[in-house]
Amino acid sequence: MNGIEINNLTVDFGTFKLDDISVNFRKGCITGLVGKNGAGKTTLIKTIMRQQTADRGSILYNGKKFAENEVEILNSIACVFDTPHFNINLKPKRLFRLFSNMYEKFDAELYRQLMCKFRLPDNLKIRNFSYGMQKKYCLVVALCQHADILILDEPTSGIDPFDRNEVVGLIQEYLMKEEHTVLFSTHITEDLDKIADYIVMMDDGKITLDEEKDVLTEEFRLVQCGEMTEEMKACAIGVQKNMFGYVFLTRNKNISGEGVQVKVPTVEEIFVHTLGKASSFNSSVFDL
Amino acid sequence: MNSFKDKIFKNSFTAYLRGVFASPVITKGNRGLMVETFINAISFAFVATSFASWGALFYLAWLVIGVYRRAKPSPLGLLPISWRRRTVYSLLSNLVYTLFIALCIVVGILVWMFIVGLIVLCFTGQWIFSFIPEALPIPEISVYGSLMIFFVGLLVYGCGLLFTYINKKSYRLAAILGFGLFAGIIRFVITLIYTRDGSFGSWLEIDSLLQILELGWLYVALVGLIGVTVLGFGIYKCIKTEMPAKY
Repeated sequence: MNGIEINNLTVDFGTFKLDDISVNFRKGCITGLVGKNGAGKTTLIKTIMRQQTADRGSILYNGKKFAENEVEILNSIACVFDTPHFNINLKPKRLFRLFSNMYEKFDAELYRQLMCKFRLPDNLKIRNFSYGMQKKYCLVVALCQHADILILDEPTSGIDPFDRNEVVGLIQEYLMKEEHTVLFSTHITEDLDKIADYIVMMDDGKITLDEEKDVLTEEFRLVQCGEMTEEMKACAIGVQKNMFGYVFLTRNKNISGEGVQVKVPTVEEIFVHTLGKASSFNSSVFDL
Repeated sequence: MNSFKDKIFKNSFTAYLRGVFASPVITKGNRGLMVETFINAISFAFVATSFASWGALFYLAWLVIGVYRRAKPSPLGLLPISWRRRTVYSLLSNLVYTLFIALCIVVGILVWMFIVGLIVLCFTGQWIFSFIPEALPIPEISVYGSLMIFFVGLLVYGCGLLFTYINKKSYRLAAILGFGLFAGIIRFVITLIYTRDGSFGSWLEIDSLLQILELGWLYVALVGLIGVTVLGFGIYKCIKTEMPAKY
C-alpha cells in the first residue's frame, strides 16, 4: 500500500495549473520532490494537506479517502510548510499548549528534547527567531506529532550544515518504522543524495520523472568533454557549455574518448540537465 | 481532578478557540488585510448604529474570526476534527468571542467610569457615580416590537455568518460594504421621517408604529422571513465550506 496515492489530480488557478498529476509516495520510503521555482511543488503539498482545493482527481492516504476518514487522516499526517503555518507573534510555550491540545499523539517529552537539541528558546516570539530557527521549530512540531505521513517542504533551507545533518538523521530515524512515509521537497539535493529512495521531478505543473534514486543514478552518466563527437551529440541530454568544454547527461554508458570524463551524476546534476534548458553561468547552451 | 481539568481546558473545542488566533495572518505591510479591516470597520459602524440590535456584535465577531479562519495553512485547518464538529465549533466560537467582546466593552465602560470618577473625586471630593436600580429605564415594548428587534438581530447575525463564508474576496468585500452602506442609508432615511414628537428612529417609536399599523404584523413577519432565509443561507454556506471536498 502507498502512503499517499494521487490519481489524475488537477488544480487550476487560471494562470497556473497542476495538470492531471498521478504519483505514489511509497510507505517506508523517502520520496524526494524536486523542481524549478514555480513548478507546483508547494501547490501539490498544500493540496495533499487539504489547504488547497483540487478541481479533479483523488488522493488516498494509506489507502483511505479523506472525506470518509478525515479525523484519522488529519491525526496521521504532519507537515512542515515553506512558511510557518501558525501565528509567529506567539511564543513556543503557547504554541506547545495549542499543539499538545490538538494532536492526541503529541509527544511532550520529545518536544522538550528537540527544543534542547536545536537550542530553541521557549520564551521568545517566533517572529524573533532567525529563518533557520523557525524552520527547526516547525520540524520539531511535525516530528512530535508521531504522524504516519511526514511531508516536508524545504525543511533544511536556512539551517546550518551541522543541524542539517541532525535533521537528516532525525528523518532517517523517523523512517525506521516501516509504516511511515516521507515526502521531502527541497532545492538542497545533497540531502536527497544522502537519504532519498525515490525522486519525483516536477516541471510546469506536471510530473516529468518518477523513479527510484539508485535506478536513476545508474541509468544516467554525466559526461564532460572538450569537443562533442557525432555519437555524443546523438545521445546527449541537456548539454551545457562552459569554459572547459561541454557537460551533458546521457543514457549511453559506453561513451569514452580522450579528455572525456564520465561519472555517476548526482540528483542535482540529473535535475539540472533534464529540466534546465539553459544555465545562467554558461556563455552558450544548446540541447541536442 | 486532572482529568476533569483536562476535559474542560484540553478538549477539541478549546483547541479550536486557541487555533482561531494562532492562524498566520500577516499584519505587517499587508495592504489587502488593511483594506479588508477598513471595510469591516465601516460596515460594522453603520450596522451597529443603524440597526442597534443584539446581532451587531455577532456580526463584528463573524467578520473578525473570518479573517483568521480563512488564512491557510493554519492550525485551524489542520485540527483533526470532523467537518460536522468544525461547523458546530464555528458557530460556538462566534458566540464565545461575541460574549468576550461584550465583556470587554462592559469592563471598558466600567473602567472608564471609575477613572473619570477618581479624577472628579480628586478635584471635587465627591464620588459622582451611583447605582439606583429603580432608575433603570425598562422600556415597555409590545410583542411586535420585541419580535422585530429579535428578527432584525437575526438578519444581522445571518448576514455576518453568510458574508464570512463567501470565499471569493471581491464578492465578500462587496457584500460586507454593500450591507454596511444599506444599513447607513436606512438609518439616514429613517431620520428624515419626522413624527409629531420629532425625528423618528428609536425602537420605542418603531414599536408604537407597528402597534398602530393595521398590517404591522406583516412587516414583522417579512423581516422575520428575510432574517431566517439569510441565516439559512449562511448555515448552508458554512456547511458547504467546512465539508471536505470529495477528492
